[in-house]
Amino acid sequence: MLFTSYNFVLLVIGTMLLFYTPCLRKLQSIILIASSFLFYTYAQPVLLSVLIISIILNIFSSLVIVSGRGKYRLPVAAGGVAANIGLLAFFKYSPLFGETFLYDTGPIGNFLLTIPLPLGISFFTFQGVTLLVDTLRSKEKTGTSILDRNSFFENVIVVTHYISFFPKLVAGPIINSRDFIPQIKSKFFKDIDWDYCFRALTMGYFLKMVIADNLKDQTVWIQYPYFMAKSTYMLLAMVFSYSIQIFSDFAGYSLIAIGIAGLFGYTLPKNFNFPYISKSFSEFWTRWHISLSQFLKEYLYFPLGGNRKGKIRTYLNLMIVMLLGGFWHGAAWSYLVWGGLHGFALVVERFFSQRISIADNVTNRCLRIIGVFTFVSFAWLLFKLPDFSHVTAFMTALFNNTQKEIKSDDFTQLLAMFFYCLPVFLYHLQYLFRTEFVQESRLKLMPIAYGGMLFFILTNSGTTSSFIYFQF
Amino acid sequence: MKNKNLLLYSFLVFFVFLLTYNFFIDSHRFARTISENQWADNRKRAEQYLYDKNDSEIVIVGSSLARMLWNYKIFPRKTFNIAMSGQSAFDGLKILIGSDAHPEIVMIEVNHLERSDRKSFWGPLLNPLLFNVKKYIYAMREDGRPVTIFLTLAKPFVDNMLKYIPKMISIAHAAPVQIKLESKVVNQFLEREIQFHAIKPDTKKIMERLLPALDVLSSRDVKFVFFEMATHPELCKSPHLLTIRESIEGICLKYDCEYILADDCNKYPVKLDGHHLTQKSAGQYSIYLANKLKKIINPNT
Repeated sequence: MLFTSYNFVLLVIGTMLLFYTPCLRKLQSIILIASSFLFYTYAQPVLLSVLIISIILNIFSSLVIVSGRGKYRLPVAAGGVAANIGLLAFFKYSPLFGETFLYDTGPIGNFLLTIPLPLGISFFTFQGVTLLVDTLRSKEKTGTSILDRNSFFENVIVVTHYISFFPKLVAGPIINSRDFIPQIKSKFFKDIDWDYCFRALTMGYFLKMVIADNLKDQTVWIQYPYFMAKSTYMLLAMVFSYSIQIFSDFAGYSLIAIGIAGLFGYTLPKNFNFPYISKSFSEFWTRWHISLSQFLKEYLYFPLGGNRKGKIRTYLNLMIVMLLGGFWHGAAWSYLVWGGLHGFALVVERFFSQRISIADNVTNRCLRIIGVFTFVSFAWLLFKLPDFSHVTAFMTALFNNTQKEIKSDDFTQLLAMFFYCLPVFLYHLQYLFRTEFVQESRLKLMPIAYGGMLFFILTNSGTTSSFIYFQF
Repeated sequence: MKNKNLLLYSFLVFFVFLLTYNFFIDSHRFARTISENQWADNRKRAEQYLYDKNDSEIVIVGSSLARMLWNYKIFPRKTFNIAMSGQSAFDGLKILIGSDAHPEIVMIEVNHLERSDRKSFWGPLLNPLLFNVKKYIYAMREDGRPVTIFLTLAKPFVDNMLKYIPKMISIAHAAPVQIKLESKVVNQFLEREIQFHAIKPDTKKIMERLLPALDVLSSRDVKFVFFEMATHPELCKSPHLLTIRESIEGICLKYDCEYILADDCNKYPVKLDGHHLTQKSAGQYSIYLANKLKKIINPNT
């Protein structure tokens, strides 16, 4: 069920009506769980069983950690984490494994190729990991945990609610159990922060329906062999437009999730913070998909030793984290290479930043922003074209097609791309030049901006499409 | 400004924008607007048919191949083309069925009947609520989109600018390189198409989709004319097209329909993509089809 579909709007309204009915207040968690299952079932009825298996696994593992003997905690937590990762690996990477190593080799290879990818598995398994690790850490350090105060049945409800909460179920933002579970309590209609929800939802739907969905129809030609017939100018414009599209798509999704969660009284973490004004790759990863970066940092980079075990080990840790982070995005080798590219960029940046100091003036800052944006944009090609040979063909066309004639239709397309990219550029620029005057003007212009976004949502939305990150 | 007023003021601004823009756009309807992309163009065509042209006597449905047909005045009656780029005749048939239209003749392009319809395309167009809202709020139609209007207004400036751009990149100097590149691209596209057309389509599936549509339309006394679009000569004799031809000729025994075979495909040059007709050859093919149609309508001519 897409966030942009009428069915989803009906689901949210129906759930809200039940959720805020005073006589049903004690059942609020159960109402949300039922809605979440309905939301999930709508897309993949059969694969709801995978979500339920994941929930049961995490319920029992976490409860053993909470109430079991001390010596069992670590093995159970480790086993639970391994089971979560195993579930993810089986469903997500089996087809890739089958295709790469067992292709045409008989029933096993064929079976692996037919394994379906359950929606949101990359996200809900990570939620399970945070639950188990957080519970273990908290129990080991303080002797208590967020699940302590509840009865068995309440714990079952709390964990199910945490993992299945539908606004974040299929593509995050990934939220730690220690930040989410304390929020599970009675909610009241009067407490809804309408202003916060309105801003998140309007901005989210604008980014998704007006920017991303329209750019999608322009960048569709980044597809073999269609791009071969395009001029260098068009190819360049499409690369940068795709960069804006993927930002608008995912940031839009995240904002809608935040807004919907707000309607039920829950606060989800911010997932994007003006990523395209980053002056360095390390800064980019603190601004892009923040909840994933935090997860990888806390549950992978730090346990690997972070930057405390010498330079070489730090570089190695960075590469491992980025390679796995890249591979988490999709079951294709190109995602691994994408992660490797970013890891390499982080390593090189770290190496030189410790040796060379660059003057922090406006020109250098602008050049660095452009440099990072260009690198990131070209790296997205590996998302759009998971086949390496197609990426190579694209780059070849980029260099070869410089002499291709620009037609009137191309110019119209360029203009349309520019028009749709402009709001995202302005959005980033107003943050970059956030003087007191800009801030004051921004506040005054807010109703015009939000009214304008509503106007464009109604009159200029693109064709409905799935969110890019849903495939991950 | 207090936060609590943001919602109220935003909605006020929204209504002011919408009413002002709708008034402007409804009173200055552009005869021809620029489409942002082929899907927008498909929606635009479908909406034009649904709101303004549903009294057409002849309706053409098909894929991008038939979308190339031009100059409707060539055809013997009031004709409207709702062939969809990247889609198939089934989307056009859905529009016809959903709109309660009663054309005399529906011309169905057969080349891409293996493609099914897309509910994501025709669903919103035929949704009763959206249909009626768009009937009265022109700004919500494809032709009234702000970006479409912006592009339409910018078009003359763009064409003006283009007069100077070729001088900058010296096309003449680059001609041999370009020709070499283009022939390489054509071959790649064509190779893909030949591979695709070598496979026979699932005619059972085609019939499952086609026959119910024909049943509904024939109950409205519609006559069907199936036709083949000329394409690259290699594709005109492909197993794909021959299989579809055989299966359609079979059903013409049951329904009131005719079948127009493709003309000699060697006579019609194709574009860079290897299978779509050029604008000029599409015009020639339109004349060929129109003449065939005239004979079907009035066999004595």
